[in-house]
Amino acid sequence: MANSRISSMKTISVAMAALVLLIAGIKAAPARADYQASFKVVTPDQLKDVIAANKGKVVYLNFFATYCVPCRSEFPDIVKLQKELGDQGLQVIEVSMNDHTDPSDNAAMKQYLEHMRPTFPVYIASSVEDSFYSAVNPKWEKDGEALPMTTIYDRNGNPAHYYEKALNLQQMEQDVKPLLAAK
Amino acid sequence: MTKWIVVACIMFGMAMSAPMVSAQDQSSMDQGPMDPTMMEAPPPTFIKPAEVLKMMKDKDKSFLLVDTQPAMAYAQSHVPGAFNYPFQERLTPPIPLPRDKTLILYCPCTHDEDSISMAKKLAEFGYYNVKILEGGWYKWEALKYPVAGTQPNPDATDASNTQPAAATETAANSGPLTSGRPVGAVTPSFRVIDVTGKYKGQQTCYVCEYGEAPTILAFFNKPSDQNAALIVKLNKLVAENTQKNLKGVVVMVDGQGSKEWLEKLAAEKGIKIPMVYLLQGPHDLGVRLYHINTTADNTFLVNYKRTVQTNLVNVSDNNFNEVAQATTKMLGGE
Repeated sequence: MANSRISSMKTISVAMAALVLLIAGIKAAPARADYQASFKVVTPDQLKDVIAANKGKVVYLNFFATYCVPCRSEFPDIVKLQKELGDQGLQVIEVSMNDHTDPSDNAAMKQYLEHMRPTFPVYIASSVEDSFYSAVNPKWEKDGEALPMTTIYDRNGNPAHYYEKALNLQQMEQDVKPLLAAK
Repeated sequence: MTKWIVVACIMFGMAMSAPMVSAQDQSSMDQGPMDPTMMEAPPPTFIKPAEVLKMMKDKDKSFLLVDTQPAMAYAQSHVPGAFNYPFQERLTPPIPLPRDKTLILYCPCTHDEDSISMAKKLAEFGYYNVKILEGGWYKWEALKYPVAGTQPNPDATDASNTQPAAATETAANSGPLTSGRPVGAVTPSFRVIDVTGKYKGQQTCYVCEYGEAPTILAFFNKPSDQNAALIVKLNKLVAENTQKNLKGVVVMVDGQGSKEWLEKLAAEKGIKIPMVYLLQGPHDLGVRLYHINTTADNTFLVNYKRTVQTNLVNVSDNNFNEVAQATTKMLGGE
């Protein structure tokens, strides 16, 4: 009888431990090592909605492509920028100009994001034709559809800075910090 | 009893985990607007001419053939029953196509490129039930399938009569062979696979890297002695103008097949400018974005501030000086 009780207790302990591990495992899931790359297709209109939905925050909108060398060079700084200033009200939004209809582009995107590990939403353009560029900003198309392209919006959702070149962390902070300070 | 406790624990665990997992899913979903149009458009599917012919004979009402030729060409000849919706760079709503039928697109193209491009554009407007008539108009004509219009092409007797898109355009417009973005157009970013440049073996984008610098983009259809001679001249032209920051890129349109030829050329002739190829060959996005006519031997775009200054097609050894002159003029303007 006593042995049986000890055995029951053991079983309960094991089950409880398993349960604790199960719950702990779920809670720890977002921080697990295997980063899940995800990127949704976005049209210019939907992108405008995303920017509008972030009114009240400073939005750092950046367009890139996995094969674009200057884009690759600035991306780690953008990841740092979000980590550093996210809690002060910065929201980075990335849009890839890779061709979402091409499986090789989708594979490249997955690999790129798994390497960069951004903590902000990443989208992929619904089209890579001129019409997409002009719908986002006619100036962008007129200037030659350069990548990377960055537009920084103030807390009221108005564009405050525009670049068709790669920036470094210091340049990003120079533009973003005053906008964050302006409530 | 012990068993029951274990089962209860497991049940409790499952009950706890279920809402938490779905909450996570929800939060990741919340990153963007919920909209059915966000669904990824499926890649274009092809349909064989014989299948379409059968559907026509069966009086199948579930599809609509969409002819993407210019209106004039459509008036002359088209597939019976096809609706003319000419190829456009940008689709402007309202789009006069039904949503309750399978749209079967065809174009007078060598690789269905206009149809593929149109299918993608239509997907942006929610048209996902779209197929592409394999081989397009030329294949249809070559098969001697029924045609309608004022001048159903009587010359289409065999596949050797398949003409390139530009040839039709030439006949219609009585103009020269056209290829490449026109003067004044911008030079969009596009992916290439580097063979001899500093990103050997990698995907890259030289247009992105060179930015506003004066740049000659030279597209070559396939390896040939003449194209090799032109690449040597282009390399020399760029070398002579490095102080003026002139850049040059050789883009092979036929794809990976050119890789070894480029490597050999770089080694034998000491070519320093990057030489690259398009990953998907003639079907590559770059061909569409740059309007490259895949029947042209070559297309030279002389660009400054990401805008085409000069467009030269089928340049030969004899008239390479036109590229050089256009470049000098562009650099002089700096």
